[in-house]
Amino acid sequence: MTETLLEVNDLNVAFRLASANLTVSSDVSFSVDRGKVLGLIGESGSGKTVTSKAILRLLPKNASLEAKAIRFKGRDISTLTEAEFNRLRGTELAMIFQDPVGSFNPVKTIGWHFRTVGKLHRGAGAPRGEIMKEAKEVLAKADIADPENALRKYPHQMSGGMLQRCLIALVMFSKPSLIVADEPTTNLDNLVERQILDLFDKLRRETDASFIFITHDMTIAEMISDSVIVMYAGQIVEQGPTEALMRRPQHPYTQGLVRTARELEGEVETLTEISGEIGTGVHPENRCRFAPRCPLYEKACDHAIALRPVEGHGLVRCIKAGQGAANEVTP
Amino acid sequence: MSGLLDFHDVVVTFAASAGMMSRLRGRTTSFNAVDHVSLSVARGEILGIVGESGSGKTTICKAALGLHSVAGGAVTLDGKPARLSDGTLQMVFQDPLSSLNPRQTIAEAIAIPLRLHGHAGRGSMAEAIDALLKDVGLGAQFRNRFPHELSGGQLQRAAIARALATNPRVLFADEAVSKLDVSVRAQILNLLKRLRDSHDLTIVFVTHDLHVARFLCDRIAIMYFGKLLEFGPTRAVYADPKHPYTQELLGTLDHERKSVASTRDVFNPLTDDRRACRYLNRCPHAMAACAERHPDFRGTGPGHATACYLYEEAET
Repeated sequence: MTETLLEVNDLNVAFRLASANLTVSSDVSFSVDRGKVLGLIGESGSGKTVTSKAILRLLPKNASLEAKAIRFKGRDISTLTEAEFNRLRGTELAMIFQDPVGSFNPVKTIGWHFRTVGKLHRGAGAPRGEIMKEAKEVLAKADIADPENALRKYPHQMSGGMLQRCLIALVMFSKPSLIVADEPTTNLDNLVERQILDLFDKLRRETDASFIFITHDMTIAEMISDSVIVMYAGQIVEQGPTEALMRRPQHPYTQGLVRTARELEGEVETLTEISGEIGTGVHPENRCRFAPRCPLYEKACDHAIALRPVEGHGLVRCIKAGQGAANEVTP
Repeated sequence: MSGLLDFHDVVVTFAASAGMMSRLRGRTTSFNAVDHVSLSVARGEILGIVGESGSGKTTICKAALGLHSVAGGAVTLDGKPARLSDGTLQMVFQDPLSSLNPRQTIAEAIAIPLRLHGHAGRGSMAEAIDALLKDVGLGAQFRNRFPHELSGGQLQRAAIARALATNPRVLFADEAVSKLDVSVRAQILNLLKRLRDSHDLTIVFVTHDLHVARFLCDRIAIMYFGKLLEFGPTRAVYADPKHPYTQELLGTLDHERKSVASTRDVFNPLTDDRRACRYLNRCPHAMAACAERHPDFRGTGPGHATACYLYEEAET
């Protein structure tokens, strides 16, 4: 039986700017089951990072957050005080950022980071030897060949891939139930990217933690996630189980992304283009946000489009979803 | 071997930053970011240089353009040393926003090379700018915009238009699509392919994205820590990679994950033996000979060569 770990209801995030309020995430609702991986796909400006940072309350000061409820293990965490939330973050909820270098203190050793996290979560009296023993175990799990040696090193003495693995180990060290990974492989080389993906795959099988894996790469999302959410211009445009979504994407935007990904895997002369670019700023309320780029656009799209269920698939924000079988994307 | 653009045994040396004491004692360490690379680029082809960070793929392009000085060997265009001032070699960078002057409009940015190289005079300037913008798929309305008013894809188009202004024969594109959003990437890739045909361009495309390289490039060259390890027609290399490194690299494309990426340490140019094969520490086929000398190239198919002792020297 699956158990819902996180449930987000109608999350809205806006940034207060000098000129106006800019909505960057509108009416986002989703849930993550225990032990599952949710892939969150979108381009820059789609609201994917803002949405996940909102859950961890990591938004900048000028952001305002509204949500009907954010339930974690059945408890509404959107109403917690700052002090209560601080206890949750790090122990239960954790985040892995894109840039591992910026996540470490450059003048402290890797071991110092483990000691600090260990004291924070196990109380100041926790025996040091025990913390270090556990640190070595978790580093070994993250495929660090010589944990003893790694603990003595400073961040600049390690390669990007090693450091990212240390960061993942540090996050796993406090045994969180939900880990948000924000493009953890984007700046890495192919082989290192593959190592990190392999590591995530191993971790999801060995722990019962849930992951929200943020990426802009369809292929990576397909490899790693159980279900997928596609965001465009601050809205969820499609969500469903990974296999159904990749095989028969229903939203024209998802179709474009999947088609390009498939074409790059195969051999073609020209790639299918999604014309135009993602808009920034204020989106008109009375029109589908993808309309300016949509190949299927027609007059009927000129109103606010709601997410609606498509049988055997998931939710799609398109009035044409579920019509006919012409949506199949063949590799 | 002679193509349009030839790299003859090119060496680019960087000095490694040493501590102050060793610098005072006159001890400095250096390493070859590009280590005796010979490569030929045929007219009208798109050559992909594929490698990880630190492989020297960007450095070798910058050496061709004179942005790095060459410590050994030579780069020739049509058999003669390339004249760097005549605009026949141009480069498009990864980040278009930082490669365009924020206080210049797009038209001004394109006008400067047009004027300097005498491709357009006072009377024909507006027309020449519009033609270049049209070539890259930008409308005339972009002429008077500033870089910050353009989106990522539009900026990269503008940067390409500016590079085309000098009427180059070879265009170097350094990770030109890796900062772009996925839905825009396809547009720019298609554009580069179109420009190759319409402008009689030869393109050297530097990337670490194996999918992109397969789509765009006619031939690819694999680099690893300054050494060229393998080159050949894209299709042949992807179908049957010869070098163990290429095999590992292309193994990452495998969806079923039959191959497991090794987590062993990579080559360290400052501490490891530089005479040995760069891939020695990670190679599953390492032999005694690999530690003594970096292997020379051996033919491993039509137009396909690999620097690895696994293959016979005489075979062509």
